[in-house]
Amino acid sequence: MAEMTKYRLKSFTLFESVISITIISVLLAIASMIYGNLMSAENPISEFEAKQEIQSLLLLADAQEVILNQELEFESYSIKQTVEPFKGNTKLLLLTYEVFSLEGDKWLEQKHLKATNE
Amino acid sequence: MKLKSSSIYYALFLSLIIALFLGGMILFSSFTRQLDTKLEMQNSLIDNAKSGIEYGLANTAELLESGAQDVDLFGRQHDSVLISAKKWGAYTVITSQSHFKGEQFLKVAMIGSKHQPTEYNLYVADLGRPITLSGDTKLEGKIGVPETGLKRGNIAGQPYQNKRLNFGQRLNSARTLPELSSTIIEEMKSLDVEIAPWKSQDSLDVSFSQDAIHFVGDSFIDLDQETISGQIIIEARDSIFVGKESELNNVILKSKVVYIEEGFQGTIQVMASQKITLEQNVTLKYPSNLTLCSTAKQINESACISIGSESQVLGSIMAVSESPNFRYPVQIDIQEKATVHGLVYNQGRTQLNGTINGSLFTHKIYLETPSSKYENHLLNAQIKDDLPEDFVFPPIFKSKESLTKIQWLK
Repeated sequence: MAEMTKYRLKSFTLFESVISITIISVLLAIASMIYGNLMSAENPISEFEAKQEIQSLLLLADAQEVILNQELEFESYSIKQTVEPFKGNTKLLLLTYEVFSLEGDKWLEQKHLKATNE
Repeated sequence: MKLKSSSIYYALFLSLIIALFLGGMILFSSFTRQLDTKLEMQNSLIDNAKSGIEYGLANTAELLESGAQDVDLFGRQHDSVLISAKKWGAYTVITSQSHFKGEQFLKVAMIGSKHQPTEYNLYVADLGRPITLSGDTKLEGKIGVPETGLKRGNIAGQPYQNKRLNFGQRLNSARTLPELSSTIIEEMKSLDVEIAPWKSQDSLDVSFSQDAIHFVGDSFIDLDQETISGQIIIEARDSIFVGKESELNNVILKSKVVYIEEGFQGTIQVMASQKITLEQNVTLKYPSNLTLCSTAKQINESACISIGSESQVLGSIMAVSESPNFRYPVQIDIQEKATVHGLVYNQGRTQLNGTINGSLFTHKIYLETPSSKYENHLLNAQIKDDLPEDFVFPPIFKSKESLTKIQWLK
């Protein structure tokens, strides 16, 4: 006992622990929110794939004499290609590409012009 | 011994580290979002600039007349594109600059005619006389010849070698050639740019997004060992010599006489009023153009384009007269083993001893051998129908032509 009185353990262990756990919990909560926010960027990989697919469709349209409306299904999205004369000008086509998720939500829309041989 | 066990300091220290980490995450997140938005905007600008070129292809005539147009392509207030068109020799150049919130992107394209509208590989005006074929002459593709047709002949001891007279569709031609666009020659002549005095340059490059430079020399310009590229017109009052060491790319040369030395390679457009001579083994790369426009003043000799042996021209050759000279018509002479890939249009007479892969439109055919001269004779001439699908012609005909890109320009 005499040995133990040599050591004075001055601590606020319970109080400090509660505060520190609270602070750390709050910070971790914020961290997880930020991380979640970063990761929830609407299927970035699929969106990137869809954009590449649209570029391929545009190249294909360049090589085609006739461009038709079409809907293409992919693993996690679908692309709808709509073709119409641009402002009534038959020499110029407006190609609209809409990308939808499997649930039917529209991810993105791109519009391009294409001159024809009419 | 005192043992201080203040876990709050550890907690604060740990919190500081976590806070720093979180701050970094927030910065990273905001940075990636900004970058993402910027990339998205740049992609959109690139797509809009390309769409602007397509808009220009469909509205070239209006753009040439009206100058630049600022178009909000899709009515979304963020797809503004400034589109303009100008003639560059036999071809047209379309510039499309998309812009949004201080960011901009520029695309410049050279355009021409997607198809040669008549689709003839050989068209000789009907002057009532047949065309005589000798030696290893071979006519492929669709041909339009006088009603009197084709016949076999024997020139300089070389009888016609093939079993058939032509290898493809044969139609009767009219008395005149398919009409040129009424403005093509005027458009080619009137390149409306500021003039600067010529001085020899070691190297010069002018982007098609800038204003063109038009150099004018006194009488003779010697282009030897010069590297000149882009939107540059070089004009001499009398003649231009192009040496084999020169590197010319997309440049226009204008003079009475243009002489190109043996071994030269480059992409040029030449406009001359008296003579264009390509020595042997010259290669004019795609899309080059040679235009001879003889004036009314020339009465003593034929204005002439001469393509030397083993030379190659990828593009087009045109010979026209401002007023017809029946005694000395404009003349195109394509020598043995020379090849033209593309279009040859001649309002005068053509001597073809080499190969044309594409189309030849000529008022007359002639042949000159060491011993004699012949009208309407072909000796060892080859007309081929083997151009690539995406070969683009200069839009020279009056009939409606659909336009397409030849190449992207700097």
